[in-house]
Amino acid sequence: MPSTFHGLSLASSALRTFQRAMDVTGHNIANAGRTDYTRQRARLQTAPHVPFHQGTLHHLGSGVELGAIERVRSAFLDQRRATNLSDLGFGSASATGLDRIERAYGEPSDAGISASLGRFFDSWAALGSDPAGESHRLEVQQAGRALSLRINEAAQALTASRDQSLAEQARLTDSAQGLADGIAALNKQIVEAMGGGASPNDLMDQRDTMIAQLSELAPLDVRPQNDGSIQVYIGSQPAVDRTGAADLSTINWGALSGGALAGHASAATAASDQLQRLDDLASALRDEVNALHSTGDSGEDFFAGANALTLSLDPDVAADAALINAGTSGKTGDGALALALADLRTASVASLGGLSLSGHYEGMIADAAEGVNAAEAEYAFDQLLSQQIDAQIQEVSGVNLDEEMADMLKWQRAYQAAATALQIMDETTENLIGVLGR
Amino acid sequence: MRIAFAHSAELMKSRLSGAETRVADIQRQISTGHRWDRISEDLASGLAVVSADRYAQRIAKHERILEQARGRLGLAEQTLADVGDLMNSARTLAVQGATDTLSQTQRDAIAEQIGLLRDRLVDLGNTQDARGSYIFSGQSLDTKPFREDAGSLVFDGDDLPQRVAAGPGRELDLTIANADSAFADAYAALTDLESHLRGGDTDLISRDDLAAIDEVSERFRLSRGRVGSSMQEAERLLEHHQRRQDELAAEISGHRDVDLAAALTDYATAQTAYQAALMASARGNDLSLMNFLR
Repeated sequence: MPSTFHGLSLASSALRTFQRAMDVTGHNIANAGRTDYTRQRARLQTAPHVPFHQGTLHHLGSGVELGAIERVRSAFLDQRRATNLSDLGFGSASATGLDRIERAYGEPSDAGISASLGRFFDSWAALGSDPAGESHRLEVQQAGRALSLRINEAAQALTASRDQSLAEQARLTDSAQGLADGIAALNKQIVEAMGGGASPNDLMDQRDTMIAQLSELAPLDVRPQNDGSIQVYIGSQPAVDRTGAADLSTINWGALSGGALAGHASAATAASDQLQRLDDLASALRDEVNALHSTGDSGEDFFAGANALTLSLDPDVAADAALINAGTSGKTGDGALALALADLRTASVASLGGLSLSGHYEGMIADAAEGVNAAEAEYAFDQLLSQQIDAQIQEVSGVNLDEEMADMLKWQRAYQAAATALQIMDETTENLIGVLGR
Repeated sequence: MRIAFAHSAELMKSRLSGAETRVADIQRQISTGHRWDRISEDLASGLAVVSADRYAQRIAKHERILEQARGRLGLAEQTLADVGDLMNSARTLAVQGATDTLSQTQRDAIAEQIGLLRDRLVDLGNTQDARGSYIFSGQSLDTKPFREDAGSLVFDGDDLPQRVAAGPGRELDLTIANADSAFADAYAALTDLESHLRGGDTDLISRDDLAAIDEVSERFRLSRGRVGSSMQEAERLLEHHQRRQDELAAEISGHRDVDLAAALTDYATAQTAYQAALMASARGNDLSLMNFLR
C-alpha cells in the first residue's frame, strides 16, 4: 500500500533525478572544449512501482530515477581511429628519419657529393690535358680532399640519423611502457567501480586517451571484457590484461607494421642501408683510383681509409701534391694516366654491380628522395583519413553546446514542474494534517 | 549531422594553419626563385637538375681545357708560320745565289744570311710557351728538343702523343707529328745551301738545294695545316660546348625555377583565401542558443 507521503517522495525523487540530469549536462558543458571527452547522457527510467489493492490490484508508479549515466561512444570508430593513429605514428616517425637521410646528402647543391665527384674527375681531366701545370696538381689534391671530406660528412650525418632513430625508439619504448602501466592501473579502477555498480565514465575516457597515445606508438588490438577491463595486444603479444602490463622492452618493433616505434626502426634500417651504400661508394672510389694512380711515376696511392667515415687522401699525397701522378713514363708531358683517371667518372665498376661511381651515387640519392616522397604522401593521406575519422567520432561523442543548452532547459523545466508538484503535494499533506489535528 | 564544439575549434585551427602554410610556401618560392628545395619535393626534376648541373660543370671544365689548348695550338701554328716565312726567305736567297752573274763575295754574303736563318730555325724549333715548356719536344716538355752537333740538328725530344680532354668522351690530339724530321731536314738543307754558296756551286744550288727547300717547306705547310685543323676543331668544340651550356641552363631553369608571374598571382590568391578563412573563423562561432536565453 502506498504511504501517505508517497506523493511527496515521488516529487522529491523527481527533483533529485532532474538535478542529477542537469549535473550530467553541466559536466558535458564544462568539458565541451576537450576533443578527448566523451559526452555523457543521463538515462532516466521509471522507478519501481508500488502494488496496492483497492478493489483490485493496482500498480502505482513511483516516479523517475536515474538508470545510468551513459558514455556515447562507437567502438567501431574507436578501432578505426586506433588503426589510423598507428599509421600516422609510423608515417611521422619514418618520414622524419627519411628526411634526415635526404638532408645528409643535401642535394642538389654545389657543395654536395655529386658536384664534388664531378669536380674531382674534372680536375684529373685538366691535369691530363696539361700535365706540366703545377696548379692542376694542387687542384686535384684539393678536389680529392673536398670529395673525401664531403663523403665523411655524409657518413657522419647518416650515422647520427640512425643513432637518433634508435635513441628515439628507446625513449618511446619507455613511454609505451608507461602508457601500458597506466592502462593496467585504470583497468583495475574501472573493474572495481563497475563491480560496485558504478559507471566510471571519466576513468574510461582517461583509458581511451591512453589507448590512443599507445596506438600512435604501436599497432594495437583492443579487446573489451565484460567486467569493464580491456585486453591490449601489440602484434600477437599481450601488452595489458586484467592482471597488469607486460614488459614491452622485449618486443621486436621492427617486425610491426605500424606505430612510431616501428617507424623509427624502419628509419634506422634505412639509414644503415644508405650508410652501407656510401661505404661501397667510398671503397670503390678508393680502390679504382688507387689501382690506376699507384701505377704512376710516384707509385703512391691516392686515397686512404677503410670506409666512408675514414676516407681521406693518402698522407704522402696530402702533404705533397707533386706526388700526384699524371703519367707513367716520367715525362713532363705525359698525361695519359690522369686522362684515364678522369674516365673513371663513367667507367663501370664491378663492386658496384656494374654501375659507375656517379651512377651508384645517383641511385642512392634517388632512393633517399623516393623514400621521403612516398612516406610524406602516405602521411598526408593518413592525415586526411584522420580528419575524417575524428569528424565522425566527434559527431557521435563530441559535445554540441546548443544541444546541451536545450537539454539544460528541458531539465530545468522538468525540475520546476517537479518542484511545483512537490509544493502541491506538501499543501495537500498539510491540509490533511490540519484536518486531523482539530 | 552533429557538430561538436571542440572539434569545430580544431577544424578552424587546422584550416587556418593550412591556409597560412600555403601562403608561406609561395613566399618561399618567390624569395628563393625556386619551385622546390629538395629532390623529394619533385623527384623527376630534382634528379634531372643534379645530372644537368654535373654535366654543365664538366663542360665548363672542358671549355677551359680547350681554351688553353687553343693557346698552345696558336703558338705552334704561329711558329710554323714563322718557319714557313724563314724557308721562303731562304728560297729567295737561294735563287739569288744561283745566279751566275753574282760575284763570290756576294755569294758569301748570302751564305752569311743563310747561316743566320739556320740559327733562327733552331731557335724556332726550341720555342717555349709562357711556362717554359718546349712545344716541339713531344711529352718531354722540359727538354730542349733541338741541338746542333757536328753540322747536323739532333732531336732530343720524343714523338709521344699529346692529347687533351676536349669533351665528354672526346680527346683532341695536339701532337705535331714529324716535327723533328722536318726541322732536321730544313737544317740540313740550309747547311748544304750555305756550303754550296760558299763553294760557288750554282748548279747544285739550282738542282738540289732549291728542291730540298721546296720539299721541306711543303712538309712545314702540311704540319701547319694539321695544327690549323686542330685549332678549328677546338673552336668547333668550344662553340658546341657553349650551345650545350645554354641548353643545360635552360633545362635546369625549366626544372627548378619558379614562374614569378604565376607565383605572384598564386600568392595574391592564397593571401585572399587566408584572409577569408580568418574572417569566417572569427564570425563562425558567433551564433549559439546561449545568445537567445534570458
